[in-house]
Amino acid sequence: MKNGLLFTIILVVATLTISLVAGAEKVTLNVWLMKQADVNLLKAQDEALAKFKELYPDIDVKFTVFPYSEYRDKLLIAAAAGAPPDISVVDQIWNPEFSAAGFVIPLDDYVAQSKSVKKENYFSGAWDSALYQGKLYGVPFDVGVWALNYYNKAFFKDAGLDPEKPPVTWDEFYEVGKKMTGPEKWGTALWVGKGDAVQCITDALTFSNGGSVLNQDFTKCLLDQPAAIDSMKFFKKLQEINPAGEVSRTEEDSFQLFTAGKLGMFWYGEWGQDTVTARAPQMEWAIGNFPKPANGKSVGTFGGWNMVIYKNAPHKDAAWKFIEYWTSKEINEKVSSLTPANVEAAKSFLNNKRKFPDVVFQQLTQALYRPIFPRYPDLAEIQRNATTAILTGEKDIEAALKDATAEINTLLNDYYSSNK
Amino acid sequence: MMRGKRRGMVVLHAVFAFLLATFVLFPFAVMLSMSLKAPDEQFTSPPYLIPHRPTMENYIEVFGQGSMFARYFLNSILVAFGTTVVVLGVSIFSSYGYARLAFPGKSVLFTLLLLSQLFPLAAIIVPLYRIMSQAGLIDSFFSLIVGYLAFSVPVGVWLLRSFFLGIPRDLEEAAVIDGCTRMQAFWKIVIPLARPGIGATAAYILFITWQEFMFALTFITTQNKRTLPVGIFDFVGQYETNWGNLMAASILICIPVFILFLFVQKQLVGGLTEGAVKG
Repeated sequence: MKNGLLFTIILVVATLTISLVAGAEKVTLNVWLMKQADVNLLKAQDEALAKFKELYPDIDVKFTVFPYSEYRDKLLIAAAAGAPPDISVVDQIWNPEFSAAGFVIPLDDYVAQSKSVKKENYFSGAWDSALYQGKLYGVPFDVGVWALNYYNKAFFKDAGLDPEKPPVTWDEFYEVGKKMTGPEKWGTALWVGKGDAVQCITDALTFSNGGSVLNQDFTKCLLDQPAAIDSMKFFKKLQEINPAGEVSRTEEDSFQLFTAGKLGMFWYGEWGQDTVTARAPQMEWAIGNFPKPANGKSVGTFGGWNMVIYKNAPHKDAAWKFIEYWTSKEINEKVSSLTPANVEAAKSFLNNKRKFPDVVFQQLTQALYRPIFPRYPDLAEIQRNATTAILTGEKDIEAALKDATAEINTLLNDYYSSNK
Repeated sequence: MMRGKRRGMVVLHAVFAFLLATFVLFPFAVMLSMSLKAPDEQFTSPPYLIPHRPTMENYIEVFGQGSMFARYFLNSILVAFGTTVVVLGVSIFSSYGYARLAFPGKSVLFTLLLLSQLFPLAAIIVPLYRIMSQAGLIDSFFSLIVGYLAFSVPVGVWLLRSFFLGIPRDLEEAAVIDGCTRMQAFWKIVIPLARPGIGATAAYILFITWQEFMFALTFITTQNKRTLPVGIFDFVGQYETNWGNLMAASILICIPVFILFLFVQKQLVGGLTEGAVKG
């Protein structure tokens, strides 16, 4: 009897201890994401998260979302203060900065053992954007491509052109635009804006022309080479078929001109489709590939977001499980507002949610990422200033690109010599 | 002849006042107009001010599912009023001290108080973040209220001191002779007379805390603790902005300020200038 009591007590204590320990093992992952306004998307996120918690009852996940304009500052302050989340998405162009600063960890070991996260499952340009000095610091979550050629079919008809045959080459684009340009209407609208978006357009022109912004190991600027010079010559020529004021316009201002029916064609990413439909429900529009030089290839520039794990995260294995889950085909397709970075998910997403899915998909598979450099925002600013100088005529094209190349080389040298 | 000239002046004044009002109110009119338009009316060419098919859709969406706007609104009210109450409590006594009492180091301390206003916010935000973080206040309303005190108490003290200086000392002395204690004289004579000044100061503090962005952005992380100036960016996406919702939210944010201004307008305008010449 006494023994029985003792045994019962031991049993109870043991059970309690085990359950306490098991309870303590439940980990919480803090995940920072971008704010999404779409109610359906929020619902899909909740459902996907509930399923994850079913699969991994020991892992709790807490989402905190931020609007784009505040997101980078919040991440940098938190990371610098040593209190970052466990996981977050980062813009492709911030990834090198976070990698170089040691805020986030390389994921190669996890990838090597993973069944689902493999390079071939994602758009290669997006995957490569997460590489830094040979290591992979992020898994692509979603992507977008600058740019596709949106066009207003009415402009083609008015100019006596076939609206089913959008221009393919640079020369055709210019000629078609010229025919469309008249009083209060234009072939297209350029813009410079304030952020790092205009580089996506000028880089895409350079990529299409076989050029590049930096050399392969990102140590030397190539903007003074003929490929970049010729692409900027074409860009400047488009001023003739564009309403004045491009230097002070943003991409959004120019996009508004398109939806207001003032432009025949406009270069913008696939995510703009819903906006065109909402703002111009009457307009008959379509999408063509980004124009290419006569003997070049239509190459766009990638934008998008990668998922990273922070160095301070206490439960990195759990964090990896979440990333594997969130970027898997089935989930990636549902929880992404931009095109999913998982190729299979992207196909199905584009078929369900976008018009002209084949054109978009093709453009995505041919897109390149922007230069991988921890101080990319500074580099982008030098490029943007050169673009401004070229468009205003303050400098001629060769001189502007030569100066920009010199400035960028100084920036690269400064960085690499002080961060060896 | 003289009368005609005067009438001419009146007309001229009216014209200028009208032009000024148009200039000042035009952005607000655009805001209102956009908030009542569906997306296909927002960016037409040429633009027009009066919506052809006015809609309340944007206002409904601002409070709709997935939107935290109502929460942000409540948080802002809480933080702005909380800060104002504390600032008034501290600065009424402090400024009276600076106005009336003699104590060693008075002018040095007062100068120091003003000096604290000279630091740009950007320069003190990181140290403040660390302090708040070590005090365990990060991501709480306290961090905001305490942070706001740092720059609004000096303003409050400085404004109120001028009002107290404007009240004749004789009145208090008379009250003391009639049997009041110093404290009673303060409560019964000085405070009622300084009421316009206190109202103006309160309104001023409310205005600056209602629209404060940088501290609110830095100290608060959790979504349901964010205030309006930060929260309104929910409507601004990476590539695209939901202009209709954004403008509807902006109109809603302005309303409390307008109401407050209607109530305190007289005191604010009179009060601030009254203080100015005595400073």
